[in-house]
Amino acid sequence: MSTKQQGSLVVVGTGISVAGQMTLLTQSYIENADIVFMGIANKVGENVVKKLNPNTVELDDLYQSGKSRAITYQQMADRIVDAVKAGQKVCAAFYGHPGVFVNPSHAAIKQVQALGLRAEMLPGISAEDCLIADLGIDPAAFGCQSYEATQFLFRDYQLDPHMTQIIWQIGLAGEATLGVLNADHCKAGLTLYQEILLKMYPAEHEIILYEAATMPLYGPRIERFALSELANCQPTLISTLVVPSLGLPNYHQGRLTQLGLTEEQVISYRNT
Amino acid sequence: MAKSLVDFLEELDSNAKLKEAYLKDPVATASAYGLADEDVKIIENKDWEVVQKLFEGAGKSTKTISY
Repeated sequence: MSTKQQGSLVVVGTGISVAGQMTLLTQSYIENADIVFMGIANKVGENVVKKLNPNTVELDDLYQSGKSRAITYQQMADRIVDAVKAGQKVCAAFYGHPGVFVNPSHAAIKQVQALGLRAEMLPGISAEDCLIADLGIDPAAFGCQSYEATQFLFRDYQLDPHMTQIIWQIGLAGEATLGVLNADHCKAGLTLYQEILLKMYPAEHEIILYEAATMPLYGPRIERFALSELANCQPTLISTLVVPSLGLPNYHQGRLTQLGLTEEQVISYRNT
Repeated sequence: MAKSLVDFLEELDSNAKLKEAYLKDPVATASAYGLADEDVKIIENKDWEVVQKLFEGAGKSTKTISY
């Protein structure tokens, strides 16, 4: 008597570059899947996946200018989940880290788990990993605030200028419709960011427009300019804005006292 | 027959020796790999926009919705 195979889902990341940032386990899951869904947005990367497993389905066809990305992402998740429901061993491969700034991967996993079936995500190399390597910024040095550009503008967040600011999707800053597929609508958002940041940083504070290298032919895009120039910069859809820290804040005397320490003591411990 | 630019990109991203050779001399490395003259020309001219148009779909990259 044959038992019908239960569907399952493993979501993997192919890295930011085209081939070299995939883990061994990711490659193995791609190879051994019944079907692989791809949200890779890079023909070379897709080709690498297709060589590992020829039974692939692209998700990119669901993007349409003017169509809300919320609908597109729901359709992507539905497509993945339907294959799992049909009893297939499914692998969904997204570029970068599949759980970082990706909506349909998390949605698909939740839906599959709600069905009582196995769903797992494997980590991948994200744009943030590339940024840390390319810019030599250790998020532990000053602490780090990392957030999506539009979310920060729309919500009542507090920015700490002593921490490194990493502002993702700056090319979509202030874009509310979710229907644009280019970075031509961010001028008002950039102007607002400049205004907000100028309240905390000097006008000449150096900021960085960053794009990880997506092709091995060329390096990352790293443009450094003064904060006063922010409103005139030209980001793309993959640009990230980095605002370096003003430096460490003063020690918090009250907390040190509660811990039975003094500033002199901790400085002494640091320096020995 | 010339080798494809797609294969070159894939190997360049996964072969340290080829990568190091490319960093030292991009055109000679591309040519020695066996790329067609027009593909070597793209590298010589650093015509990365052509490469991006051929292979990348920036508008089709996932963007998170969190606001």
